[in-house]
Amino acid sequence: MLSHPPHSRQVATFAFGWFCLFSSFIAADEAPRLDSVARELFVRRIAPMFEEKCLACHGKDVEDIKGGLDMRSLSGLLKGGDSESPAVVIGKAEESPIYLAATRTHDAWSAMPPKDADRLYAEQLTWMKDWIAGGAPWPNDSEAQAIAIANAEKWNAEDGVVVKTTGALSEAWANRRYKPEGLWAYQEVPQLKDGQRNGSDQIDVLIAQRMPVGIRVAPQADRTTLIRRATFDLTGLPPIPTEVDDFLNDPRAENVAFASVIDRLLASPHYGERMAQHWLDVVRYADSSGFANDYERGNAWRYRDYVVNAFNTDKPYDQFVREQIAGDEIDSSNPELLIATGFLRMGPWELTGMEVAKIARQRFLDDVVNSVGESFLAHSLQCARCHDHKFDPVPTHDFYSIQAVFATTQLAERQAPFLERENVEGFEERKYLELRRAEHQNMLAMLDAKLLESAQAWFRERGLSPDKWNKALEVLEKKTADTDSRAPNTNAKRRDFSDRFSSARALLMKEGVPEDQFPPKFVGFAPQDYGNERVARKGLERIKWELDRYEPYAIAVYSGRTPKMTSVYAPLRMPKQPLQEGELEDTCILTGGDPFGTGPKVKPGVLSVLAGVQKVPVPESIDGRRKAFAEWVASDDNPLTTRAIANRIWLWHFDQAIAGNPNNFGSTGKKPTHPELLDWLAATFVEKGWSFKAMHRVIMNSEAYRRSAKHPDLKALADKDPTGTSYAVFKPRRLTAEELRDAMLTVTGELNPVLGGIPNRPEINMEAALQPRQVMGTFAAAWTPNPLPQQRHRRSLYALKTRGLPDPLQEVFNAPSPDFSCERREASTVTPQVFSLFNGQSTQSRALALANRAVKETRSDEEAITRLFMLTFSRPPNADELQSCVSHWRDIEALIGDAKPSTQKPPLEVRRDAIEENTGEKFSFNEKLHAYAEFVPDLQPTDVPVHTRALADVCLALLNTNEFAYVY
Amino acid sequence: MSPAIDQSTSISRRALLQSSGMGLGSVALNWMLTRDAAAQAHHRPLAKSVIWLFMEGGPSHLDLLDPKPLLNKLAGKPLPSSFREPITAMGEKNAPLLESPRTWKQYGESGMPASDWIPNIGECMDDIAVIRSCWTNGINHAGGVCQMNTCINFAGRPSLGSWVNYGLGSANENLPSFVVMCDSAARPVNGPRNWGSGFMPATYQGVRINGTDAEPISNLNFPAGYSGERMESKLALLKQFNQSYAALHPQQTELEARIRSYELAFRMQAQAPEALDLSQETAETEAMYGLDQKETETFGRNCLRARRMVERGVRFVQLYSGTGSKWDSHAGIEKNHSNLCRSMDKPVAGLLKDLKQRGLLDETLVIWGGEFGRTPMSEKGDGRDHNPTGFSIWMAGGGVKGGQAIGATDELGLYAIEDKMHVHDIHASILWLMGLDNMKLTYNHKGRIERPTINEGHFQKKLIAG
Repeated sequence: MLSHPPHSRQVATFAFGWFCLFSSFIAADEAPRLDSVARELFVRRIAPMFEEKCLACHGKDVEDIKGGLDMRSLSGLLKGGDSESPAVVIGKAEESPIYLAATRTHDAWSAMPPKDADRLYAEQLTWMKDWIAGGAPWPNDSEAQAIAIANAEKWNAEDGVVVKTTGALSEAWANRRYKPEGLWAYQEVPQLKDGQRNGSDQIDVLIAQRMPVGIRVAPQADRTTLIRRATFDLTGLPPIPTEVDDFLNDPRAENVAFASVIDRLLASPHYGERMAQHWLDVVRYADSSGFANDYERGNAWRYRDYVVNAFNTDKPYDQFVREQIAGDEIDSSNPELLIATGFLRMGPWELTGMEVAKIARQRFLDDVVNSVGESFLAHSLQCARCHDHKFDPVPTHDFYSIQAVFATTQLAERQAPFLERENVEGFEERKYLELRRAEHQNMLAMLDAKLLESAQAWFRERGLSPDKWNKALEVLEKKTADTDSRAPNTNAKRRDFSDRFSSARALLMKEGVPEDQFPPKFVGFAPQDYGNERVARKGLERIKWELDRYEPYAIAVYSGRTPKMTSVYAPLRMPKQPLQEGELEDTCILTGGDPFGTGPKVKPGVLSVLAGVQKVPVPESIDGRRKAFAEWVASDDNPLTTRAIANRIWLWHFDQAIAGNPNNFGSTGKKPTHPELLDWLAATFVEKGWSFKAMHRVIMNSEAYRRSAKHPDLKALADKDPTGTSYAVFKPRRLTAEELRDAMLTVTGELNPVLGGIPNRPEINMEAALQPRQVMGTFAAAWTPNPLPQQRHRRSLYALKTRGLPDPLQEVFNAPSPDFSCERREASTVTPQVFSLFNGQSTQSRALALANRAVKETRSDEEAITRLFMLTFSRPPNADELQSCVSHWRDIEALIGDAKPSTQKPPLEVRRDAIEENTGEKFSFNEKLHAYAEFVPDLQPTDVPVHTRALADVCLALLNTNEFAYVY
Repeated sequence: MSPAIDQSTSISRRALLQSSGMGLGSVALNWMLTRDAAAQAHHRPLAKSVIWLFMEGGPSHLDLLDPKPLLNKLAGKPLPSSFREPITAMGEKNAPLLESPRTWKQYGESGMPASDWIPNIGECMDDIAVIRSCWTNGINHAGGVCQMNTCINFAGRPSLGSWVNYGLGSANENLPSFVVMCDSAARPVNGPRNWGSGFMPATYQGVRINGTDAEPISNLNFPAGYSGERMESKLALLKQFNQSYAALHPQQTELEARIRSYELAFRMQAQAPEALDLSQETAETEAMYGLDQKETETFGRNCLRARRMVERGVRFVQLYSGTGSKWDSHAGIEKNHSNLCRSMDKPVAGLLKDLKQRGLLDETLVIWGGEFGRTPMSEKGDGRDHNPTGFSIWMAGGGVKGGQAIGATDELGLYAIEDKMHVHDIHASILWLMGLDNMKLTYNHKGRIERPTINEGHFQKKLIAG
C-alpha cells in the first residue's frame, strides 16, 4: 500500500474514464439478455479489450475492415468475415473462431492479434471464453453506462486507479488502471517534519520501524572490520596498516572516532574515483564506440575525470544533472560544461556507409532518451518507444516529447582547452601511434609508386600514349610543392599519404578523358597489395580517433540542425553554421518504433505524469530545449530524480538498494523495502543541498551501517528475515573486479595513485591481448601494455575500456559490459575465476611483489608473515596461521631449491591472417607492437632470491583467500 | 507463465536458507555455482545437446542448398525489375546476376538436392531438414553474427547458448556447459561477445576451447614452471585459511561456495583435457571425420571433439568454420567456397554419421549455417554480396524430421517468400527442441522480463512434423 495518499496534482482518480469508447460500438438490439455476470464482464473487460486489441483493424476504419470482420457489434461478429463463418458461436468458445484465433494455437485460424507482442494474456483469454460461454451479451450504451456506474466503487478498488497523462495512443490506455502500489515513485516526496532532522538516528528509527518482530540486531562491528568496510566503501581501496593502527588506538568514543575516519576518507581524492566507478557503471562509460568499427573515443577520458572531480568537489547533484544534460547550453564557453555533456554520448554508436543515416540518427535518439530515463529518473523509457507503456503511465507521446528535447542535439568532438585540474601527463606515448601511422603512410607511398610503375606498363602494353597521364602527374607534383611551401606545418588539408595515382586518375576524369584511356584503379595489384592497402588505409582511419586522446577536444554535443551525413570515419567537429545548415528535425510519433514512421507531431516536453513539477516549459527553439528539460529533471520537486539518487547512494553503502531495481521504479521494478526511509533520504538530500558527502556521513554514522556481519541468532534471522532486507545484520560483499585488482596493487605497494588522465593499458591475458580482433575491413590494433610498470599499475578505473575487447580478468569478476546501464554489480562465483586468480600471470606477479615488499620491510620470517597479514587483512596472524605460513614457506623453498625460474620476452610483432576481400585470396601481414620495444616488465622471479620467491607462494594463497576477496 | 527467475535470488539468499535448514553440504555446485533451482525444461525435450556449425562470413545458399535454375538463365543480366530493390552491403544491387556453375544431385529416399560442393553432406540429406526461408536484420558481419548468436543485431544481449545454459543448467559439473571452438587462431567478428551472457551473470557465458591440447581453456593449467605438487600444497594452505575464516562466518555460504569453486576448478583441470583427448578414438572414426587428410583435419578434429563433449553432457557446442568471416566471398567465390566446403563437408558428414551410429543423433541437434546468405547478383565480377533477406540453414537430429525442405526463396533466391523464418523463429525452434518455450524462459533484468527471442518468434512445427 501507499505510504501516503496520492497527491491530487499528480495522480488523479477517475471513476469510469473509458465511457466515450462506447460511442464506437453500435448498439445491438438483437443481443440476447443473458445473465448479469457476462454483461458486467463485457463492460468491464471485453469492450476495452476489443478497443485496445482488435478495432484498429476491425472497425475503426470503416473503409478498410480487415478480413471483412467488423467487430463493432455483436451482429458483426455473428455475421463473421471473409471466411463466411460466424466469428462467435454463442455459448461455445471452443467453436468460436475469434477465441480460437486469440489462443494462437489453432491451425485453421491464424493467430490474432497478428503481432506476437499484442497477444492476449491468459487472463484475457479466460474473459473472452467466459463471455462467450455466458451468451456473449452486448449491452447498449446506456445499459453499459448503468452497469459501469453501479460497479464503479468495486471495480476501482479491485483494478486500481487511473493516472492522468497526455497523448495516449488509445482511449483504453489513457483510462487504464494502475495498482496504487505500482505508482509509489511518482508520489510527492514528503517534506521533512520537525523531529525528523536528527541525521543518522532517523535512519535507525525508520529501520527499526520495519524490523520484523523477534529479530535482535547484530552488535556493532569491531574497529578493524569497520575501517576496512568504510575504506573500501568510500575509496575502493583497503586501508593501509598505519590507518588501521590510528583508528584502533584512537581513545575517543567509537562513534566519534569513526566519524573522523569517514571525514578523512571523504577528503581523499580516491573517494571521487570510487564514486565515479559507480556512476560510470550507470552511464555505460567506455573508450570506444562499439558496433562494427568500435572506433576509439579519444576524449572520453575527460568525461570520466569530470565525474571523478564532481564527486571530489562534492558538486551538488542537481548541478551535476544539469551539466550532463545541458552543459553546452548553460555555458558553451566553459570547457568543463562541454566535457560534462559526454554523458549524452556514452551509448554505443556509429554510422557506416552500409546503413541509412536516418536509422543511425534514430538509434542515437532512442538511446539517449532511454539513458536519461534510466540514469536520472530510474525509469526505462524504451518500452514506450513502439507503444504506450504496458505497465507504467508513460504514453508513447511522452517518449517522443522527450525525444523532441534531443531532436536538435548533435554529436561533435568540440574544442575544449585542457583545464588546470586535468592530468595531461604522458602524452609522449603518442610516438607509438605516430610510428604506426608512419608505417601505414610508407606502405601507401610504396603502393602508390607501384601503381605508377604499373601505369606506365599499362600504357606500354596497350600501345597508348602516356602523355596526358604524365602531364597530370606533373601538375599534381607542382600543386603539392606549392601547398607545402605555403603552409609547411599544417595538417589541415594535407592527405595522410601520397596518392598520386588516384589523384591523377581523378584529374583525367575531371578533364573528360575517356576511362579506357588511362589505367584502372588498383592496376597491377597482387592480392597482397590489396590487403596491404586496405590495412594501411583503415589503419590510418583508426589512428585519427586514437590521436584525439591528446588533443583539447571533448566528446560532446551542440544544439543545431541535423547535418547531412552518410558515414562517420573520423571524429566529428563542429560545423560552421550549426543553426543554418541541415535539417530541423520535427519530431513525430514513430508508430511501432519505425524510424520512417509519420505519426502525430510532438512538441518537446517532459513525462506528463510529472508535468506538475515542471516550472519552465521546454521551448521549441533549436537552442535551450535541454536546459529547460534539465531544470525539470533536477527540480527539488521531481520525486523520481531525488528518490533515484537517494536509492543509489544507499546501494553504494549496503550493496542492496531500498528499491531493488535502481534503474526501474516502474511497476515491474522491485518495490522499496523501506519506503519511509527512502523518502526521508531523498528529502534530506535536497535539504542538504544535494550534497553526496553529507549523505555519506548521515548513512555511515548510523548504527545500521556500523553493525557487524555476524549475527548471534542465525536461526531467528533466517526465519524472520528470509529476504535479508531487515538490516539487522550487515551484509558482506565480494570486492568488485576493480577493487580486487586495486587492492592487490595497494598491498604490494605497486599502485600508482595519480589521478586522471589518458587511459592506461595494463597487462591483460596475453591471448586476449593479441587476438586478431576483426573490425570493419581490417583488424583492430593489438592490446599493447604501457611500457613502464608505474604506467600500468594505475587504478582500474583508468584502464582503456574498449567495448570489443574487455579484460577477461575483469569480466570474469562481473565487471559489467558497457552496452547496457548497470544498476548493480553482480557477484557470482564461477570456476573460471579460479583459473584467472590462482593460475593467471597477473596474480603471480602481485604475489611476487608482495613477497618482495614483506621481506624488504622486515628482519625475520615471522615478521615478514606478520607484515603480510597486516597488509592484506589489516590484522596480525594468529599463532596457527603464522606457523602454517612459515612452514609452507620453508617447504616451498626446499622444493624449488635452486631451479632457475623462467622468464618471458614480450612479442615485438604479431602475424595476422585474413582473406583479402577484393581477390578472395589468403593474405597475411605482421603487426608491429611498438610499445613493447621499450617494455619494462614487473618484478621478475629472477630479480629476487629464492627465499623471496618461495614466500610468493604464501602470498598467492593469501591473495586468493576469502578474507581478502570479501569486505565485511 | 512460470515465474521469472530473479537474479537477486543468487546463491547468497538461497544458500542462507539451505544452510540454516539443511547444512552447508547441500549447497548445489557445479561449473555454474549460482544455478537456480527453477532451471528445468518446460516440456519434454527432443534434443539434449546442440552442435552448431557456424559458417562465418555467410555461405552461399544458391550454390549449396537452394538450386535456382532461373539464375543461370538470367546470368549476366540485371535483376529483373519485378523484384523489390534490395539494400546490399556493398551497394552492388545493380550488378549483373552471377550464374552458379554447380551441379546438383538428389540424394537418398527424400531426393533432397545438394550441390557438388557438399557431396558428403548430401549423403546425409535424409537426416537433414533444410530451412530455405531464413532472414535476418544484420546486413554487415558484426550485426549478422551478433544477431545469429543473440537474436538482435545490436551488441549486449545474452547469446542463445547462454540462455540454454541458464534454462537447463549443466549435465556435467566438471565441464563447462557451453563451449566454443574455432578452426584457426582467428576470432569470429565481435569476438567473445558472440558467446557472452550479456546482462546475465558471466556464469552462463560460453567458454572458448582453444586449439591447443596442452591448455584448452585459458589459464586452466598451473603456471609454467610450477609443479603440481607445489600448487597443490598451496591449495591446501588456501583451503586451511578459507575454512577457518568460514567457521567465523557460518551464515555466509558464499564463502563455502568459493572454497568449492577451487576444488571444482582442479577437477576440471583433470577432466577437460580428457574430454578433448582424441587418442582414445579409433583410426576408423578419425577417418570418418577426415582427420587423415590435411584439408579436413582441423575442422574434423573440432567436430570429433564436439561429439566427445556432447557425450559427456555438454549442452551447447558451437564450432566456427572459416573463423574470421572467411566465408565472405565478395570476390572469387569459386575458389573461396571450394576450399571452405572441402574443409568442412566431410567432417560435418562424419559427425552426423558418427552421432547416428552411436545412437546420439536422436538427442543431439546439429545446426549448420552462417549469419546470412549471398546475393544472386555478382560482386567484383566473380563474387556475391551479403544477402540477409533470404538464405538457408539446416538442422538434423534432435527430433528434426530429415529429408525435407522448409520454406522457399523467390526464383532467384533473393528474398524468402514462403514459411519465412526470422532469426527469432530459428532461435525459438532450437529452444523448443531443447524443451524450452521461448516465451516462458524469462530473466528479470532491472525489473523487466527479458526473453531469449525478445518476445517474438515461433517454433516451426514442420521441423518435427514435416
